[in-house]
Amino acid sequence: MSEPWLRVENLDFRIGSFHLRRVNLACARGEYHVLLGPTGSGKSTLIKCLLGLQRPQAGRILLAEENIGPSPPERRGLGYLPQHHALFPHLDVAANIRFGLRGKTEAGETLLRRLVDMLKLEPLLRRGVRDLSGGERQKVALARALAARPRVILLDEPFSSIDPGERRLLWFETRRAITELGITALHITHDLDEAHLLGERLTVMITGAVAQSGTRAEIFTRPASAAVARFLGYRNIFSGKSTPGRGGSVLETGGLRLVLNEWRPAGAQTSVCVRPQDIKVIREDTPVQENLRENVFSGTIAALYPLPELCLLHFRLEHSPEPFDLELRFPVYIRERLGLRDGQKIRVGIWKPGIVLFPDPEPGA
Amino acid sequence: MAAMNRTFTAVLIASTAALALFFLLLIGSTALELGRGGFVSPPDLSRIAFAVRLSLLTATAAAAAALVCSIPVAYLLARREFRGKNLLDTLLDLPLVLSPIALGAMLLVFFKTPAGALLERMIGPVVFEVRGIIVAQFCVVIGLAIRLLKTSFESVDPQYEEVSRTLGMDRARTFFRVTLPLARRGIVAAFLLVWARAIGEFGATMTLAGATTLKTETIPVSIYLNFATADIASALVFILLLIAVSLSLLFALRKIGGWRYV
Repeated sequence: MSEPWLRVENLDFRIGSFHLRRVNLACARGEYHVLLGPTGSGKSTLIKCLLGLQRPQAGRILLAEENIGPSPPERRGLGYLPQHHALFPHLDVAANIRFGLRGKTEAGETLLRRLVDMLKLEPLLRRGVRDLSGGERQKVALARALAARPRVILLDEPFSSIDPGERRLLWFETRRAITELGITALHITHDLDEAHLLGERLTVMITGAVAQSGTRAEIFTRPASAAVARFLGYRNIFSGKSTPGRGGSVLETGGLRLVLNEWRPAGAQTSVCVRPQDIKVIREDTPVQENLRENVFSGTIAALYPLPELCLLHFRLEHSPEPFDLELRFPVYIRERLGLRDGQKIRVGIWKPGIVLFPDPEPGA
Repeated sequence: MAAMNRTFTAVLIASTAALALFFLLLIGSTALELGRGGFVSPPDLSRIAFAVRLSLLTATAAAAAALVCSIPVAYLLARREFRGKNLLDTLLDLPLVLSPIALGAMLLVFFKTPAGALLERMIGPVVFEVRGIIVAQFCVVIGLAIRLLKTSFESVDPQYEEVSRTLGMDRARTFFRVTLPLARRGIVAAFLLVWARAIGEFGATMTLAGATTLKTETIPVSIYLNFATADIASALVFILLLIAVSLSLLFALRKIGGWRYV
């Protein structure tokens, strides 16, 4: 990552029983950074601290190397797109967009025209804001925030009140408008698809602390802890003591005997995660791929859940007392091609390079 | 179950109808009594005009002053948390619970103190003067004005102010460009209610400004003076005038949508 443009250092904020703990975060200039985390993890509180709407008890907020912590919200150069957009109901669309402009300057008017064209707002300009659709409101609020020429724009779950059909189109439009203007964005969401699609870099927050920061690939393929993995929807998380094996350390947990892709000291407490897309159904008529060979398990299909774009499969090991032991995820057509059905006996293989070893085992694991 | 529902609805309707009927009877009996005549002396139109004019003038001045003074206080109470806020809130509620005659007496005593004398030097003579009516009405309605405006400001979502700040507006500009326009309906409604309360004020006015015919004679003072001289019919004319003004105001209030503050 290049030199950080927005940097948060050891930010500490306590309100009631909630505590933001030593938050560190960095966004490069022009980057689209997604702050991802479950509801109640402190994302919105952090945004309010950055904006100067809440006063953190400790830590620094640096923008272009300048400590903006002591500045009031109006002098921080941070734009804000709140969750419910907060368009001023006593002003029409045009007046809302112009709200942050200081007088009529040529640069301001040019930017305004560009925003109106980019976000296709021309037909809305004379309308009141009360009768706009969710998507229209979002675009007007975005134009209003960008028209004030912020150095960083903070977007707080801006799509949460928008219908799913409209949402996906708005993801693209929003990101295009922000990146075309070269503005750095910090976008908070709890939606995994939104985060995956929009974020060049991501920071995951869990219970008031940063759990992981990294590129999209790092976060989604190598979660740093069991908590991050669980938030990303990965259910194949196993803990136990490792023993030496031939191709790598071995983790025996429940009915599973997993050969890992790394060596761990014998007897070390070990936690691992296997993404559901890294477990493959093995066809009986084809040879088993090399990377699957060491972790092949027999059992039955406990349940199949066909979703619009993918299929979830719950796999139960032979003689397992659990409702299921592994969760698999694959494209819908695979189900048809392999003729999978509930109760069917199958073999599955875990793709060894995809096994994620967590550096710190969970307490009590 | 259906019978229970019907009985419950019937009780609601009957209670409402009984209360409405009671007030209509009050107004009707006043009008009937007036229709029977019985004026001690023919109604003095210039005196009526004086009382109406004075009432409108003083109530408007008192309501405007109360509104101007209570806007910053109400905004502070609505938006900030600080030590002693509850104490301040309780103190400002005093005019709401205190009998107006007691408030008038306290004002009379206050204007005998050096602080009161200083205030009189600044704004002119108050005791037994028209200014006294405005001061008395102001003190009686200020608590109500603060309560109503606080509710209006609380009903403005703070997020609008937060967004305005991030768009480069400082606190003052945010207040004038966002908060005040968004609270305008509540402010207009508050003004009308405070005005209506001021126009009917008697106890504090009577104590501080006195009841001098054609000098400090507002509509309620006129009613009192006419009753004191047993000129019931003339008193009733003023009562009906007061009813007409009050009902028009309350009707206007509902029209502008400020009904929820009533």
